[in-house]
Amino acid sequence: MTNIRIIPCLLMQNKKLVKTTRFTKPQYIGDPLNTVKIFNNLFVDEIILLDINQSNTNKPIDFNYLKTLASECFIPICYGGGVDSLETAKKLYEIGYEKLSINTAASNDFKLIKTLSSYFGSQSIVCSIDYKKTFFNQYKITIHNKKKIKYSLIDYALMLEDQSAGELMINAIERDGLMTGYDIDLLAQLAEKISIPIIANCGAGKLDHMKNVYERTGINAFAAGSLFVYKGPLKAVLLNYPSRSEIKNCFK
Amino acid sequence: MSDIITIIDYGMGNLNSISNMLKYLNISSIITDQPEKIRHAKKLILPGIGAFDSAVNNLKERHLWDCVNQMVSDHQIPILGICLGMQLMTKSSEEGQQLGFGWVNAETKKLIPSKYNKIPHIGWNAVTPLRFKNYFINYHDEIKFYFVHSYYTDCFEPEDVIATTQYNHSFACAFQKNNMMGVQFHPEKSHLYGMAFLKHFYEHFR
Repeated sequence: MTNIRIIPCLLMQNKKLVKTTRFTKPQYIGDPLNTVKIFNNLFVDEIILLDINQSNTNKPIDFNYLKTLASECFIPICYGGGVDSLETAKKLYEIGYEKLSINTAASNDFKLIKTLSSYFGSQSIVCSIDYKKTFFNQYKITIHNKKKIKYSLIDYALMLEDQSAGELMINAIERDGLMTGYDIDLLAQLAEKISIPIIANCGAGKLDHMKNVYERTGINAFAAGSLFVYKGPLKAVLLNYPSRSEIKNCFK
Repeated sequence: MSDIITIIDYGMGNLNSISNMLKYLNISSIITDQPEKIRHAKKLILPGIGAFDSAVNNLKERHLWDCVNQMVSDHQIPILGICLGMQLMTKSSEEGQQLGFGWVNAETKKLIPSKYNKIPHIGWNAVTPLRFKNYFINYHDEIKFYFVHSYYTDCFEPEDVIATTQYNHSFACAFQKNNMMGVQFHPEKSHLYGMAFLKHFYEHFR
């Protein structure tokens, strides 16, 4: 099952690693450098590193620090947080991030995606969508800077694809940290319409949750936070990752 | 064995991760966009992520095209092309109008998608080595590498193919002809598998 991608999604806040629940209540997990090293040694498929404060601050990105993190990583690593211009993207590339995740900046300026993907190739541009389900079972896109999006989630996703995004990461805010499974209905709808790879995120509590999505939708990339940083019912912090044979057995 | 590896910088892709892995392997390397430095190279790496035509244009604008071509064709300097770097070694690409170096009798074509295997092809995939087998280590009963691409090289000479990968169809994920070697996967992002590959390239490829 080499085509399945199982990706620890690490959230960073002021150079500390945290794990949120429904995008709030950040819990301290550990030191980012150490964590990246450990996941590299655990031979994970990829790492997604998101600085969850960067888009909201005026502080410049600390490229030197990010370079230290990337240099511990001999597997693919994607960075998100404050990627708002070609200049920023170029610097991140140079220091070792071959994929960049764009969320807030895409909602401000759609053309940025096209600019970035024609420069780096679309395979390097991950567009990330945060959403909540409303009372009326509508999917409402949520942007960090509170900007309102007038499009439906599916239309927005199609527009991102049209701007040459390489991948879409779909974040179900209300499932974040709950470990009860992915939002399989929405993912199925998206997989029908979208022809670029989709990364499911938020909600994984076990490998079977990933298998369920894969079997129903064909989606083969799964990000998870809690699953790989907590262990046991009391959620003790313990970095972990399934073995190759566990993954093989689950997806066979 | 004191040769250092010269990584060609033409503004396409992340060179730092290649030099980073080489450093980890205790192999010295330099990253350069200076033709005069490339003229003294003992071993080259042509990296690349991005679009075919931009790559050709960038190489030409930086006066690297002729210099690299001479080093490889006339002086027989060993070279490894990675991803787009491999595709540039072929005659042409469906992605663009420009011609490649044409060192290898091959053309770059678009991958064919399916429901389960979309384009770009992103992720780890199994690799089947046909030649240069010691470049590929088997770890936990797998030989796999990390891929990120939408185009692949179609080799017209079967004997040039070193290894194949299956993604809706089988394609040459590595080729070699004389002093030229190209790989579609990213050894610099393929952990143990990539380390073994780059180490062998450094120590044995002539």
